[in-house]
Amino acid sequence: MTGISKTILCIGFCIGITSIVYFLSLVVSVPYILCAIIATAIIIGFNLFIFRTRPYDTDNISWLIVTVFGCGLLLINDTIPSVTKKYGLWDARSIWNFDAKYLSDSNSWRQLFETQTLAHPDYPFALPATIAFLQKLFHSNYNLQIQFILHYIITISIPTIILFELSRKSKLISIIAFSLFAFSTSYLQIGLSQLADTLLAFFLLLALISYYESYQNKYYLALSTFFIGCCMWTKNEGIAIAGVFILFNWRYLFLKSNYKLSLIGLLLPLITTIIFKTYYAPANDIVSAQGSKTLSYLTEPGRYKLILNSLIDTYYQQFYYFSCFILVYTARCIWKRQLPANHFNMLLMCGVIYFGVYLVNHNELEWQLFTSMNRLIQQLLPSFVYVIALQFADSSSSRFQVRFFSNR
Amino acid sequence: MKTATAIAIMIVATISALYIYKTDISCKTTDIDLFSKALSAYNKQLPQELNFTTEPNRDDIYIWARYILAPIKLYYNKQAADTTLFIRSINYQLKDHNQSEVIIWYYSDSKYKYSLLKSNP
Repeated sequence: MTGISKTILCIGFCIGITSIVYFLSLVVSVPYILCAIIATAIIIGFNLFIFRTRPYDTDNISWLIVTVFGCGLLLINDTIPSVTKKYGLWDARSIWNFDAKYLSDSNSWRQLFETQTLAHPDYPFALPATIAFLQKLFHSNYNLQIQFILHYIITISIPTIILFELSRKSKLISIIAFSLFAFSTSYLQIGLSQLADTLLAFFLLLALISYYESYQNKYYLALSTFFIGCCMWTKNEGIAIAGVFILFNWRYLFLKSNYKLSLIGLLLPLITTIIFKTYYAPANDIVSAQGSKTLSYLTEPGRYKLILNSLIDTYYQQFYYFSCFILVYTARCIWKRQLPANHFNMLLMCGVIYFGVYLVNHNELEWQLFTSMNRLIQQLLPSFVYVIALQFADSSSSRFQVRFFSNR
Repeated sequence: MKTATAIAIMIVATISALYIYKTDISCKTTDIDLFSKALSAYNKQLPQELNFTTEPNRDDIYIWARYILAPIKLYYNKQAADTTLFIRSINYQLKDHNQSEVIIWYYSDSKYKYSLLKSNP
């Protein structure tokens, strides 16, 4: 794993652990200073572990990749003014930043769970708790720049780790995968609109990358399950993602030699989510609305058609090059008569679950699809790109790479 | 060296993004900022619970008012507290006025009218 990939793993770990420690400190009424000390101690311990386990693979980074990275960030920064709103999108103001304001007040944060119209207090707190922690750390009277920078770092970390991780296998594929994100206005827009979807995508991607790394260093398995636990702690959809991840990887995760590490990583975010869901969060509106109408929703062909059309339209209009990338991979699988990669199927399964949730959704379906389809795509897209690019990189022509992309 | 350069690029990009946000985005005045400015003209302590009303089909006004006022609790279209915050567009005409409430604060700007109404005992 490259040094910059490890740095990004550390960023993900910092966000996850800070939000968990901060929320638990609110639950047991620990003073903020003690919470900050505990979080810092854990983060320092983690950094010592991750940067000492194996030396940097600096030889695997070329100046070409570093240059592409710099140009990509330049392009992303150039797009910021056209895609960023000062206070984020609707859900940022009504849910995530609103929750963060409550959480930054240790006296009145429990009032958040009292019935509030359009507030969704059943959504987990990974993002709001991180923002609240940072607001308190900088003693700010709700500084908007803190939220923006947090989301900016998450948004650029995804293509960065994909670029540097894949460049070890194929520079061409890594540059293509990185460019998909750098050129995508939709990806940047959702990433910078202060919502939790990109954070969920970030945790899922880190879980997958740590999972692959665990073949070489078993301790990364604990990190992988920690990140998958953080998915649960970020959004309700993350609970479904974590379930599917464990289902698809249970043989490896729960090998006799691995299960302890898997459980160690999963434990803290899982316990935190259980505490939150059991003692604080009200019932989810979609789950509690299920009843006699569910069957009629499931047997209505028009709903299937509507969801499918919305999915295709959103991919085509907002994620055109990503959909081309996925289609090329699908065509390659058909051409070579190969089954898609296990993790590709896993992500497809997550997509099928999202499809099912739309089917049984009691809200007006067209409005729901219009407001959330692109964000749900964003949650899975980075992992899709990484898994597909990894397959391409593994089988790409080495002669081509040697000729055009050799290390300098 | 290459890793350090990449990390340095990331740091520089983050700082320049912050600069872009400060100079191009956060300096723009939005409806939320108008409300925030209006509130600063009210020089008393707001109660911890408020009823909230606005014109029909303007949930967005409720969302940004609630966001700015948090952790003050806003009851949307409910009479659960004795003070009501009423925000409406400057062009919106009131059809009737509830005689049981007295206006304790009023403010208007280029886009909205803001009032605090207290129930008559």
